[in-house]
Amino acid sequence: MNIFAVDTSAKAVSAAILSDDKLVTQVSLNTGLTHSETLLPICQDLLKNSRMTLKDIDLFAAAIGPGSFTGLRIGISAIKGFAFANNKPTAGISSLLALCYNHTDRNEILCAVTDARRDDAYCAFFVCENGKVNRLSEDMAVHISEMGELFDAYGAKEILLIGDGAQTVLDKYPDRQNIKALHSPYTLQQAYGTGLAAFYAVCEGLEIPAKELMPVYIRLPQAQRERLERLQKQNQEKKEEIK
Amino acid sequence: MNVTLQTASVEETVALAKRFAHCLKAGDVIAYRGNLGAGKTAFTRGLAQGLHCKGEVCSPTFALVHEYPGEIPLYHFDMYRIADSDDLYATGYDDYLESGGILAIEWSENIEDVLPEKTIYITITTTGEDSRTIEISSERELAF
Repeated sequence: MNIFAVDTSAKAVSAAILSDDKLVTQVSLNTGLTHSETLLPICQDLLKNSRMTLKDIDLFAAAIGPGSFTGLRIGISAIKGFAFANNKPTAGISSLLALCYNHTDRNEILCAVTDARRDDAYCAFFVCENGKVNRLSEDMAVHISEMGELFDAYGAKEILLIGDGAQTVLDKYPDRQNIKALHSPYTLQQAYGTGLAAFYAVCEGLEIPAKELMPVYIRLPQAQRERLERLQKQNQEKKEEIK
Repeated sequence: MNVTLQTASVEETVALAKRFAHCLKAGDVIAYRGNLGAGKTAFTRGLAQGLHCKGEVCSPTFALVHEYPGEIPLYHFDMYRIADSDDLYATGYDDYLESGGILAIEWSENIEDVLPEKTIYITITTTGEDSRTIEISSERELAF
């Protein structure tokens, strides 16, 4: 099975072609250019360099979130378009799970953590076994200061932070001896992980038609949201007064 | 730095903004404060001219954000309809903050909490039919 995977969930854009669970080719680009400029040329080059066309692809996979609102939609739209035009199925993969699928040889508990701005982070916990990544938690949006409680649940077990939020979180918890961070470039998005997760998803019959592929959104931490809502209310009242 | 200026017409507001644009750099965020019709869009028009951006500057109330391409692109937001942080997320605001452009935000009061440090505040007050008072407040010195 040939798999075409993209990950546009964060700053680095990545695309890959897999043959079953084996990597054929991959590009990761971390230049700060917008994914709408870089993704399609990357996809074209990957196919050209592999002497393949879209027709040779059996499954199209995309990271569907959590992550950047506009970034996710660029990757998902491209994958939907490719799949729809070629009448092939798609797989939507959590961007946090995809990060971990690049590191299936690790023994630690994996904590995928990506920056959600303003001291918030998206995170989830996983553990690897026999080349597969198993979930220990759902994908969450938390304030970085709340992650201590999440770490407590794993006691003294070694935890490896993976993702663009890894260093920020590590800096916030300097006294925790059992927590380490995986460093760049391995900490950035690589679509091989998206593709590998998709391979296993299809093994379990989880592929979906292109039209059903959608981004997922996890709400910001409660407090943050309520603060903003309170502010809206105050401003609304002010607007009423002006009228 | 805090400076207060007067303008007597839309044209003067635009001209002022055009001069002001020369002291802006990539990554700057301008937060407008001012009521309906105060001249926030007119000021933005002047900024776009000063930055040599392409495109006609008009109010982004419906689209939420307008992009004016240029050497430093200008991103013109209107937060009037932004009710909560889900709405804000859906504007792609966070991505724009890191894009290397300049943000000009109308109804910034609605997202006061999440404006970055070093935001430049521009308050436009109506003092007469055509006259305005424009107050510019910034952490760094701006010479124009």
